[in-house]
Amino acid sequence: MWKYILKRLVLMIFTLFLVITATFFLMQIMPGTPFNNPKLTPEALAQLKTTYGLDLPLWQQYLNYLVGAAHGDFGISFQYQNQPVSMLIGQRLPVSAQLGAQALVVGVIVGLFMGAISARNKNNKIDGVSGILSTLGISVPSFILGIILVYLFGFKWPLFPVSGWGTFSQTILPTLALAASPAAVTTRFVRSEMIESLGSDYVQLAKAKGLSDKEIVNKHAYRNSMIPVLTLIGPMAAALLTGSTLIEQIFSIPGIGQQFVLSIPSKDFPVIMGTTIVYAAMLMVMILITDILTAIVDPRVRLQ
Amino acid sequence: MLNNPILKVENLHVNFNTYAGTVQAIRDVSFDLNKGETLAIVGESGSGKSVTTKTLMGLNAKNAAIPDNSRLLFKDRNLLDLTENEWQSVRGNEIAMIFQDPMTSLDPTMKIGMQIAEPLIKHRQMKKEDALARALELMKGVGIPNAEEHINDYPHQWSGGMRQRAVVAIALAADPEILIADEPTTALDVTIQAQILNLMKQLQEETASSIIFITHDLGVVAGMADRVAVMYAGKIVEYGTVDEIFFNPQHPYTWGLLNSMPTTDTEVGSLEAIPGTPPDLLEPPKGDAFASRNVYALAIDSKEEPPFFKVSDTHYAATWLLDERAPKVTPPEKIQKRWAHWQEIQGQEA
Amino acid sequence: MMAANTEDFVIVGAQSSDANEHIAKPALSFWQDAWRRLKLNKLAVISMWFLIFIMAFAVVSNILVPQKAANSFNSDKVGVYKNLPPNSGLPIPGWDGKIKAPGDNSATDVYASQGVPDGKKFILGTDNIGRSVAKRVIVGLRISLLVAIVATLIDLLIGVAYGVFSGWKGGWIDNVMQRIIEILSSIPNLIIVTMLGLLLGSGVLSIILAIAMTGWLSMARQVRNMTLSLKERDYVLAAKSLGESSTKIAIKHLIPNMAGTIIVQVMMTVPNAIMFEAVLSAINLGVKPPTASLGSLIADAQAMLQFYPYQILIPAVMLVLISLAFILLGDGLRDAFDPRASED
Repeated sequence: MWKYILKRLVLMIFTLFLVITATFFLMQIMPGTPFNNPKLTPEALAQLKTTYGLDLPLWQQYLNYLVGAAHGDFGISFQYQNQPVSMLIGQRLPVSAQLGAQALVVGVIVGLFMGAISARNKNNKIDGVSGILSTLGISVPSFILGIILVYLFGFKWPLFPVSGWGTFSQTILPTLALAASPAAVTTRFVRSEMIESLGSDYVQLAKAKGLSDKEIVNKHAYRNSMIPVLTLIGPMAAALLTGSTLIEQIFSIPGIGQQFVLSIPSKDFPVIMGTTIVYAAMLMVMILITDILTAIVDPRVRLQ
Repeated sequence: MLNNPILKVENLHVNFNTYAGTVQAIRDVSFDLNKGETLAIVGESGSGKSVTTKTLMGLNAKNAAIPDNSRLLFKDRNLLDLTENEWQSVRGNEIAMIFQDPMTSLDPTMKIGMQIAEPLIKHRQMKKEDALARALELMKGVGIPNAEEHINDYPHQWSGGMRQRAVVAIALAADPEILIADEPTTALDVTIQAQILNLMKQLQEETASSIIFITHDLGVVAGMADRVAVMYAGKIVEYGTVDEIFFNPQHPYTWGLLNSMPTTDTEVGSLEAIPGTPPDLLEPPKGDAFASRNVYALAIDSKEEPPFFKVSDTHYAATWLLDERAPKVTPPEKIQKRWAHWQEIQGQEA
Repeated sequence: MMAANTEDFVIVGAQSSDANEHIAKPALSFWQDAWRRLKLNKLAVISMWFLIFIMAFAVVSNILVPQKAANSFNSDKVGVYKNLPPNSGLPIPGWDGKIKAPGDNSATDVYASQGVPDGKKFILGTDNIGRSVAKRVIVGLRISLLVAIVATLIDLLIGVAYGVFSGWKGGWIDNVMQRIIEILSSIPNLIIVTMLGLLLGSGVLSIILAIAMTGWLSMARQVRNMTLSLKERDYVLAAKSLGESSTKIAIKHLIPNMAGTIIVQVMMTVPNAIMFEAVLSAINLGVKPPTASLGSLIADAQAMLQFYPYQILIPAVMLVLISLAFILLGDGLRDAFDPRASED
């Protein structure tokens, strides 16, 4: 198991290296720099270039960046001069992480619950309602749901604050907007897993043992249909990253996603690169964690 | 032996309501099961043998309909009157079942010891530790080597034969009076099959339970059963002691089954399949359901259903060939050999 | 005891023609059978007709509403035409050209107060520079569908080719190709899309490429897994031993046999592409103004949400309905191709 984790970590570092290299050289060929302001004097421009190390040969810039990135140093923001990218990210990452974690937890719990109820009430009204909700949940993108929530609960019936960060009530609407899709995905998944499990031979055997429906569901069907849900967490985390950039923008949440969006029009390349690398690392860590969790919970899976 | 039935099945009908219509899966089946005996129910797939066992366990699908005059008498109760709660105290306790495929019938996420202990916790109200201790004994009883080391294993760590032993241990956990084995060896290798069959035989001798043994394979019946019932198209067509069915078969369907069974003295290439397929039970044919595949079919077979004709006190067959008006037919050569053997045995006994 | 006569006791044998083995139901091909099952699923059929209608409408709309008509505006009369509420010409509340601003008690007739000439009505209102929302939505719908469908087709080509090649070759080639997919899929799609968007600049073509670059991974993975199992099938082995070329086997045997899975996967890719287009628009990497897409319409209207919610309503509803229809049709097709999965 440890050997496996080590192997995965090595692959992760290699992938991150590729991501860093790719983003670095992509940034080099990006059209336009934030410095082509005609008002800048040649002296000022040279000064700026020195500050950012842009006067060095390309290979040296690359090496410097690589070494810096390995230490968590992603250079200095173009947009907010004197602000290291790592500091910007460091301030904003916890906000995004909290929002993402809240949405993931709410989404998965709601999904487990609704999926199980649907499966046990297969083809009746409860299942129908949950089917409609979950299908809507996967077809309504989180940013549209966010806009709907802002309109309904911010303007129409002002029950919750619709912008900012700091109090719990400010997290409610963005969490709901982000949680809908994971909830829907989990519901659909758990429902089909559970239906398959309830029709399986081992459930027949459990029935033949004389267990009640409740005991069968609690002792056999649940566990067998919950374990595969773990495999969903990787893709859902990726979707949360995407969703939260827009949600943070809509709800004016000072998270890493909002920073990312703001840095695009201003061509703040150091911030874009830093965020990219952090995003990739976060996703890879999530996938690794779920793989390890699966191996712990599912006796059939052995990491190798 | 006959006077001590533990289970009486009377006029059992089971219909399934499907979108295409009503499938008459079981059409008037009656039989007795005596204490300590093994009754084999033999037939092709679709003959209704599996539905019979599911009915005996109260495990039929929701679309199954059983008419009121059907009766399953077990210890002075009609099982068909039981509520789901009452059924739960019967299943796994008084009547237990061994399933066909050990690869899929164990819960992949639960330790095997615990799966064996479950019926004990449920029906004997044992504490978890006591139940696990008893599960360990059961594992030893069904011949699992080094059972102590394996009680916390998960099913995927075991071979098919070992898993089927675990399934047998689950069925035996609560000392059931009736054990239903639904093709318990079909999914296993031939050598493992023999081991499991021997195990069941040995355990039956120890516990004096009755076994209903469901199979499509007459070959495994010979060594296992005391009596045999042959099913076709949702009906029993012939029943008798195992010797009577093997050496004095009367129904042409039984002849067909025996002819399609390999034996040690079978010449290569002489196995005969029964031509055709079983009838559609959505609209069962009028008369004898086997008539359309029967080379010995009489004109009356397509008009009227044959009643059971008595061959001996223990042996009955539902075929018009036994009617006194029927012509004498010459059965296939191999069946004639069996009859000749039967005459010898009878002669010796007499 | 019975009515039977002696002549009934004559051997007639197994004369019934039913005795011979036969398959009772008329043999339906895989596709006919799937189609029969799909037709039973009302939601899927409705979705299918809706999508056919929307796509036909998008094509025909090129003649009815040219892009220019939707993009142009009269810069002298922005004050007159801007932000007009939907007006159906009928006294339907909320659809009569009147709007109640937040804080006001009664609705104002914006058409009158801004001095719009009599008889001029905008059925879905206008945007902040006086362009017809209806026309913008029609054009936006066209662009979004174009982007999503072309991107999906590219995904389909790359994904199927990559998957079949990887699975068919096997060995180290498969290994390397799978590692590449693994690495690519551990980079969030948003980043790939953003990078390509930044690199290629805004514009329809670059959005299509950016979206296509991310969508083919899951297609490739599924096709590869199916290829692995199909290539051991007898008919493929037979074709191989008869000396058919790999390309021919792939086209004649492999792809037709996984067509069901591929179609379902396509149905799930289109809504993803539509959504990514909208995301790109929202982060300023979408279509170049004045071109409209559903995503850019939503992003533009979002700023004015509190005052002019109608501007966001129609593009958002269209986007959701199209995604919903693709997903419902995809669900229906999956069940139709794999009846076991939906059986009771």
